[in-house]
Amino acid sequence: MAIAADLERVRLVRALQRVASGEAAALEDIYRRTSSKLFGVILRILGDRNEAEDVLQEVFITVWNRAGSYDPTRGVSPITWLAAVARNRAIDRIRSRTARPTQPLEAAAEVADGAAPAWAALEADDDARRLAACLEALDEKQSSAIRTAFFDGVTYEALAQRLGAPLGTVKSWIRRGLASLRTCLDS
Amino acid sequence: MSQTPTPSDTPDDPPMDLAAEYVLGVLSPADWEAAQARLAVDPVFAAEVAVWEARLTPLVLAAEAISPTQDLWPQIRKALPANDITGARDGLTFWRGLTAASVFIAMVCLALVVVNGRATPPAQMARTDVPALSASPEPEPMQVALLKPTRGPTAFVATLDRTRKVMTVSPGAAPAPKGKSLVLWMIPPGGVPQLLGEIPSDHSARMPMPDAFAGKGDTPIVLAVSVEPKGGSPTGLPTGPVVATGRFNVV
Repeated sequence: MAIAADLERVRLVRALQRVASGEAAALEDIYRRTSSKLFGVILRILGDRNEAEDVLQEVFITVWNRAGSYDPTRGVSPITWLAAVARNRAIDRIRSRTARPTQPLEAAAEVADGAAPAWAALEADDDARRLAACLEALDEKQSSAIRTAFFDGVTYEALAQRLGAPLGTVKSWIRRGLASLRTCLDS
Repeated sequence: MSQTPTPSDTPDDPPMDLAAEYVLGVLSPADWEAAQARLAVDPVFAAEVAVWEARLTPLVLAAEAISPTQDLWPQIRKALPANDITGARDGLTFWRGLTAASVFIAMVCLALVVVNGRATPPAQMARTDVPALSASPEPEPMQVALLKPTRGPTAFVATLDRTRKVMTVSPGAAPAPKGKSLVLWMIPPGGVPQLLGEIPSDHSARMPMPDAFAGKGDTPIVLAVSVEPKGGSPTGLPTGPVVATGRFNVV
């Protein structure tokens, strides 16, 4: 499993480098390997399939334009970089729409289907495992507030409303959680 | 910092970590936009944001993989704006050849801006008040400006996405001279250069679109890149040689 994940990682790094030099075939390769995962991420955030497909399209255009800014020597795995692009685009989309209620969890669950085979390997990514372990170690309220905020792109205020807790309390959960997370991840 | 569990508001919370809270997405719209603007001009902050993105992003990888519609890739392939940029780069080589013959002609031609009028079909969907693709107005075209060298081989490519109000500048073929920075300015007709920010040497810079570009169609505003001391111009105006200029317009 670890070897498969390493191979997948190396392949993606190389493909990103080829994209940076203008090879459209390499972008297609990345698409084939990652689009279902990235689509899952975007759909989980947006909860709307059409909108998520628009954003996925934007993501790959962004990757095409900015693959050169991915630097494998900085210790970020290529899939994490791609997922960051995808999440940022999805959150931008959320920010651009006004006061629209979303039910991302249910909506995503409805349309879930099988994963692309490469994902079996990529999901074993070390980054994801460490983060999961560090989140587990947090106070339940802290980790749940962080997860909700990160997936749903909600502000402190919206989060406080959603959780039915005072704003100051929610800020406290998040800030304590982030500080502990930082310590745990950097240790 | 106290380790005591907190029942409610507490006086001794860790201080705000702007980069973390920006990445997490919890800031108010105003704070979030301010942080985004800061990214373009504050490399230390940008680095902190990058580290937090790396820390937190694996969280979303827990989302279940779901296949998008099958015909999405062909759509993406068609929409790749860099198809046109690539063409423009070929054009640049051609014009560079011309420069040898006539600097003046080359300058005029290279100030030409290449536009990719169909680059952003998804962008129009960002407006939630647009009911349907077929009924919507033309999307704002994504525009590309080639910043042409006045000397030396450096060239920059700027893209303007008016719908998303984002400008991106790709670094040139040649890095900044040792110990110097490359700084991007916009110069309104007859006006004073306004600082837009430093162009990173190894990756594209993304910045909020300056308000001056908000109008439709051609803009008379010139983009210019100058060589400045490390860390930027000491005066707030270009002090070093201008190494490239260009302009966005619709062809």
